[in-house]
Amino acid sequence: MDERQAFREKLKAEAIDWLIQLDSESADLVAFEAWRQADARHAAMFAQIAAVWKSTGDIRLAPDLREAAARAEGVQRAGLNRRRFLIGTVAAGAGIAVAGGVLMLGSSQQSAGTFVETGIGERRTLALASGSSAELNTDSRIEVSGAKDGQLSLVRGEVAIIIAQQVGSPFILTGGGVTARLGEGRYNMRLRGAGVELIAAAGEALVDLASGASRVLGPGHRLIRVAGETDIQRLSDSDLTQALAWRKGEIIFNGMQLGEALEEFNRYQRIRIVYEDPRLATVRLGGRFETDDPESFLLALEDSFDIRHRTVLDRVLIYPGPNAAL
Amino acid sequence: MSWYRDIDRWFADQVFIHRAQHFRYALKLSGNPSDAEDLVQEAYAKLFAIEDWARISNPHAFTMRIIHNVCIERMRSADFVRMDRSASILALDPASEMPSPEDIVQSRAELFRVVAAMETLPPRSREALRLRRIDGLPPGKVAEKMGIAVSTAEKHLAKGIRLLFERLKAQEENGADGIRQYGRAAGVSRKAEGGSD
Repeated sequence: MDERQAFREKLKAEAIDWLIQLDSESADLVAFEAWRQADARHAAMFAQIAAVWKSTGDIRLAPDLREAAARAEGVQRAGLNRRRFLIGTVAAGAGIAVAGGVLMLGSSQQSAGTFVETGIGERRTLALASGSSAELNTDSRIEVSGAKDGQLSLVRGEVAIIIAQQVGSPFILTGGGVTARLGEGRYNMRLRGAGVELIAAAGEALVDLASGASRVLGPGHRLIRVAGETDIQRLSDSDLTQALAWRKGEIIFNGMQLGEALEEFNRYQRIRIVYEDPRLATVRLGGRFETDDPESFLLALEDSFDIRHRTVLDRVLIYPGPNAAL
Repeated sequence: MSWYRDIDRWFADQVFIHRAQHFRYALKLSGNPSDAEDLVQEAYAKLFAIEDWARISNPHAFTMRIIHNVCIERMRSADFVRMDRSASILALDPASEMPSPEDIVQSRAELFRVVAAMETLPPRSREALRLRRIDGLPPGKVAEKMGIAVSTAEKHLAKGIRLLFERLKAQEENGADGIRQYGRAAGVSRKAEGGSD
């Protein structure tokens, strides 16, 4: 960042501060006018911020636009601000149409080889048949490889499936060597290394294991299958909230160790946060962060633990400051 | 809202609405985005130093003229002049960059861009902006509804308006698809403004 750009950034931050204070009527008006009149560049930057602010209020007057935006929300929310997404169609499958960026999986005879994936930091929502939907978390890929609709495979990453109503046979979700038949409800599947984790937040699933056995996964339960072993546990409400926080673009740490927390957080980052000092790995932390806001996370580490950071090539290295309690 | 003056309204409605054109023109003259942004900002600042701004008959064309003049001033004061750039300055008449009829009815399209850009904000910032600006709740109620402190709600609002400003600008700089290309890979070093609630 050159000097002039740094000056513009500083000015912008000042103008935004003033605007927020003025809006909440907490600003010192005399001080504000003094700032604004001190330099025409202050007045100009403030007017630009105020213009954007004003335009957000104008939306109130145009409900039709809001409806249009709400329709597009599945696409927008999935992160148009997040780099790129990919939709690939390998085979000429019937009944799959990409309309307005939303993948519709309609009734079809065959649809081999269709996939949807997200890059790092992206989320993407897909409309499925009958009002159901699938949402892909960061760096994920699903494939529609079955001979009929109502079937998805998770190949990489994490997917949340909402089954609005069961029409005909149950929706089939496969991944990590398990096949789950989903009834009405909300589910989350995540591949972790060689293992797979399936949560039924609401609703019930019948899970076929690769061994041939079947298990019922009830609401509020999590199935973990790794190295041929299967375990089903009941989740507390806070565990459930934590597991599904990504759908709100959030990540929640409930006393998680920093080493593990970084692994979670880095799933969403192109610029990874790393540490060299092994003492950092066991620091326990709590808090709620936005997955696309590493700055706040780094700032909180510094404020709470005096764990500082600096950018080293393509990484952010965190290291203990002099007052870090390790 | 005594802090929102007539000149601010005039600037928003008559000048800032054409900011994409201002930037593109400055980019043609200067050859790089950082210098272009600088030219635009200097031109806007000059508008705010004009006493009888209300008498300017075509504020957009006037702004284009200022951008042109500021650029020439800078080149004269520079130690050397890049020939290719000065040639392009002579060839470009800001009058040819006058608003077209489409520009005049573009405010609705502009609004749609704002709506779309708002949808790309982080959830909490988007929620705060929505409650405050679209639902029109007072700041205290926004905080209450979000279950957070007023100061935290203000941080979300500040962050929201900053990102909105930057994303709209990125859109202009990259053309209509700018928002799709918006990336934040370098954002780690930027000062954090959001809370951790």
